[in-house]
Amino acid sequence: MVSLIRIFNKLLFEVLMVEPNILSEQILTEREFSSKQDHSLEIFRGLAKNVQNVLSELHTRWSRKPFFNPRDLWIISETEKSSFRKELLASGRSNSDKMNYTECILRVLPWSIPLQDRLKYFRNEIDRERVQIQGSNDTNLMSGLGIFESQFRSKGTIVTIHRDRLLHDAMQQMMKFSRLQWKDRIVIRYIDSFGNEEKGIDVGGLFKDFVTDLTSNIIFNASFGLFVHSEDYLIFPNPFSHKLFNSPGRYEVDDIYCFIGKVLGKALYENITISPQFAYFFLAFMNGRYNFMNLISDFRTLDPELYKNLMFLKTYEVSHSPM
Amino acid sequence: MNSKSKDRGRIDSASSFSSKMFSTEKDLRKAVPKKLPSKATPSRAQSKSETKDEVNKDELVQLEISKNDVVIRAKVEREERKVRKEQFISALRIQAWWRGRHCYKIFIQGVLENLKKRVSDVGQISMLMKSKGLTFVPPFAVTQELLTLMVYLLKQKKFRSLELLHDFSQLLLLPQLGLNSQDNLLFLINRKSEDRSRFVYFISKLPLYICEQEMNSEIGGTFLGLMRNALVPSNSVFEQNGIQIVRRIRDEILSPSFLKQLLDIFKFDLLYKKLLRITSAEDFQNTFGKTPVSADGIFRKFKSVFYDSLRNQSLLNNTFLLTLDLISQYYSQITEYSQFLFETILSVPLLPFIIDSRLLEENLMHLTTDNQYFLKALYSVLEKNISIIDELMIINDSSLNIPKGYIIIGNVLSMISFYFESDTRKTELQKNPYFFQIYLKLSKFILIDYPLIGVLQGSGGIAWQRVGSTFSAAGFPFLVSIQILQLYDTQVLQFIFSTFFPGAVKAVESGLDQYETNSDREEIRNALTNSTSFSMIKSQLDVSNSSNIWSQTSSWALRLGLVPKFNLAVSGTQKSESSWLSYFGLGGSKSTTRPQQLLENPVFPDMMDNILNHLILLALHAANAKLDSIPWKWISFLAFSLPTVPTLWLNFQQKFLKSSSSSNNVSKFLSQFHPDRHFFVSDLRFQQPFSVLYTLIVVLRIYLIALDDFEMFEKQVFNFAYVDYSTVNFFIETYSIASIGFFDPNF
Repeated sequence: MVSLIRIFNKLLFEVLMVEPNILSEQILTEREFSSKQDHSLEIFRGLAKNVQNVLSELHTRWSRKPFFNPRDLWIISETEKSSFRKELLASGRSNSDKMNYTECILRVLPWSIPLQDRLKYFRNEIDRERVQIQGSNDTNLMSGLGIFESQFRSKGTIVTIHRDRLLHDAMQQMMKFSRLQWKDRIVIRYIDSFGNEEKGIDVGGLFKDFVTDLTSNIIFNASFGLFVHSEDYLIFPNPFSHKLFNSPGRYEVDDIYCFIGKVLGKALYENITISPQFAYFFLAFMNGRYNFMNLISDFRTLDPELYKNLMFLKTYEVSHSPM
Repeated sequence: MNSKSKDRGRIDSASSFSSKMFSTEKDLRKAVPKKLPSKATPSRAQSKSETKDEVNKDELVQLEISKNDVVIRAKVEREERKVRKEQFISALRIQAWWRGRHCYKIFIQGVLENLKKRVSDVGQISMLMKSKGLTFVPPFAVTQELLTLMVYLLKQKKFRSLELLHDFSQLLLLPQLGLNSQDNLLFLINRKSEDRSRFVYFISKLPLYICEQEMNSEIGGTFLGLMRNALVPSNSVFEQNGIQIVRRIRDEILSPSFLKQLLDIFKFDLLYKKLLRITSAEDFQNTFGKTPVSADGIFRKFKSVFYDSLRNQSLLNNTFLLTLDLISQYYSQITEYSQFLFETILSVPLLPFIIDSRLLEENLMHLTTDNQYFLKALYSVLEKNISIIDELMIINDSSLNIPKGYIIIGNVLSMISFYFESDTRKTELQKNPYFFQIYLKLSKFILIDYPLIGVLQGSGGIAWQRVGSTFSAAGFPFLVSIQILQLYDTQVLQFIFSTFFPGAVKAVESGLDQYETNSDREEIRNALTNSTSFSMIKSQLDVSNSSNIWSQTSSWALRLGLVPKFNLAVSGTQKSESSWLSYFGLGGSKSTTRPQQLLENPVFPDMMDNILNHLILLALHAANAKLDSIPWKWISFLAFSLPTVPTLWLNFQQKFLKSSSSSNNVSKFLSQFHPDRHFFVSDLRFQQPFSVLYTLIVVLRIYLIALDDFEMFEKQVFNFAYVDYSTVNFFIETYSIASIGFFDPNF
């Protein structure tokens, strides 16, 4: 198994090095006119796609429950070399349409690159965009990100929040935000319980405080009812939340979840750490390209007992003897 | 008054004269008589000179009138004579004809009665002889003479008597041909060659006359049956009479004209016309082309039309079987007739449904067990004509609206699937390399041709037809698509593997003797005996005889065929062996020798590679196929009924990577692996690494869908990576799947 994963990983890696766009549709249309009768590329592409699917399937299983040698099973040694890292970080800055092979590998074989590197790439990409939008006074940061034009910090959008109704006020004002506004600075002005504006200028700290407050005390708090936790204290959305939150005059529960998603996205964008941990199956869904073949396996992380019984039924040999 | 009456009398006399005068044709040519001068008396000459002038004038006018009248009259009479003459000639002709027919009838009836009498005489004699326990063989000269009369009578449609033919053949022809008396045979052989050839010529004429007969072809059918018995004797007859002698006569009887006539019975142009008359062309197209309410109904309808046109089932069956028999008996001459077979027999729509299946079974089985000639013939026909079929697929037969190619393909496929209806037939097929050759031919044809791939993918497919200079698309004939699907039926696939797997097991058994340490064996056993359970897939695949496989105790080893070795070593019982053999449809100890024989046959290993390559190509088409279509069934079969994943994986490592995880080896392997190389889809050729890898990946993907976490983690089904590769090496080398991708260059 281990060698199978390693070899296929390596195989696909090598293929992507030679032909980075093998899995994109573009390559087919490019070659279509040159050789209509020749299906070899199509078949080769099918092979690459199948290898990628098998690896992704195995990786999902592995991340659900690691087997054998989890330490460096999925990492390809080439990706740990500094040249690869440099190229990967540089790939985000180039504006060309064609993808660099490092970027292709990141998309097709994300597991082959160490998590730290991937994180670094992610932060690098996000920070660069963030600085471009929000501006920065930190010249070191800007030069590190490859931005050499000085940009002043943007003024951002001011959001006034009452301390005792964080969610309500935030939703009321922030739901109207455009995409750019979400990416831009959000300046929080707190109003205390007496109706006075709190002193203090938000240069990032207050917003961070706001997100932490909102997530840990309200949204993800099991007693609030939007999320519940599993046996091992991993949270996932409360299936009965619509009964709690759909009363007239208040926001619909879908809007609330939508808002929570935006807040989480903003937290990732601003590099703010939040405390709650999500259940495995929920995270798998959040991936965006959920493989429904894993539905029954992921079910184990929701209800191990029910899963066990279902599996028993699957292999149960029906006997015709009286009960 | 007088002159007037005189004139009248003259005219009358002239007319009566003229009627006599022109009574014949010759008279018409006579000159008109000149008018004589009138003799007037001299005393009255002067007084009558004036009146005389008037009279002359009148006469001239009268003469003028009578001349015209005569011409008209002559014309009318000429017409009348013409008609009379024609009538006379016709009457003569009718009389001659009637006299002729009458004489002919009397003559034929005389011949018929003579023949009947003589045949009944022979019948009486043979009855008498029979009562005394003897068989009467009429003298050759008598038979010859009567046969000539018989054929002569058969030529006359009105006087054709099949009852007489039946009696004749039973009393005279069959005893003469019948190989009960060796003396008689020798007698026949010692005849003068012209006598014999004449005799044979007349015999060969008989079937055609029988088939032309529509009144009572039941007797015709029986006659053909009798002929068949005589011409295709059982082995015992051969033994009794000496093969050489019998063959000599058979070879003479089997003249090209004779076989051609037998095959002419299957000329279906008439049938097509009849079909189109009964059901309109559009109806027929619809029933053939679109999804019918019930396929049975169509067959029944077709059958009835078919029998209706040939009047009798036994005639058809016997003709078909006689043709088959002759083909099988005289394989040496088959090349001459393969074209006939192709054009006539194979192009009959839905042939296997028309021929009585019981008869087909008895006789096809007989053929395959005895000499395998039928499949051989079929193969040679296909090999010669596969390009023609390609052409025929697009040429629209104007009378039928369905290209002949589809019908031929459908018939061949049905004949193949016929063998899969019972186990005994299947075991016969395993001995026959031609079956696999045919399978490959058809499979190649189907897999390369795009519209047929559509059928496999479950989307129906489009049949392109050429109408004039343009092409038009039409729905794929429904019934043909059913037949195509039969080629990749699970049963067929299982059969193919059942042919080759036991041989591999044998090889493993001998190979394992090299390894003496218990730890080695234990390791293999642990790796290969982990069980998997796919009860969900079981019902979908509906594989017979495989219930053991799906139980909790099923294992990789069982699939790999390694269990018997270990189980025998542990428990020493015979039971386990029969269980795994039964999985391959080869229960019992008798079957164990067969695979070994197969492996010794040099044709088989190559063939297996070829077949597997075809099936890989089939798997390639799964991407666009419906989930319940053939490619997916095939992949499921590979994944869950066979140990494809571990076997291919071990093979892959062994052959291309040498050691399991060295990155250098991977790079080396990849260096020969580039998108622009190695694929020859149009030729159905893949390079070996590719085909192995592709199959492995596709199967693994399916496999992972069904494998649950418990099986994967707790039972460690995938633990085969820890197998000692050198131990399994021998297995891999001899295992048929291992050599996937090798292609027979001649293929």
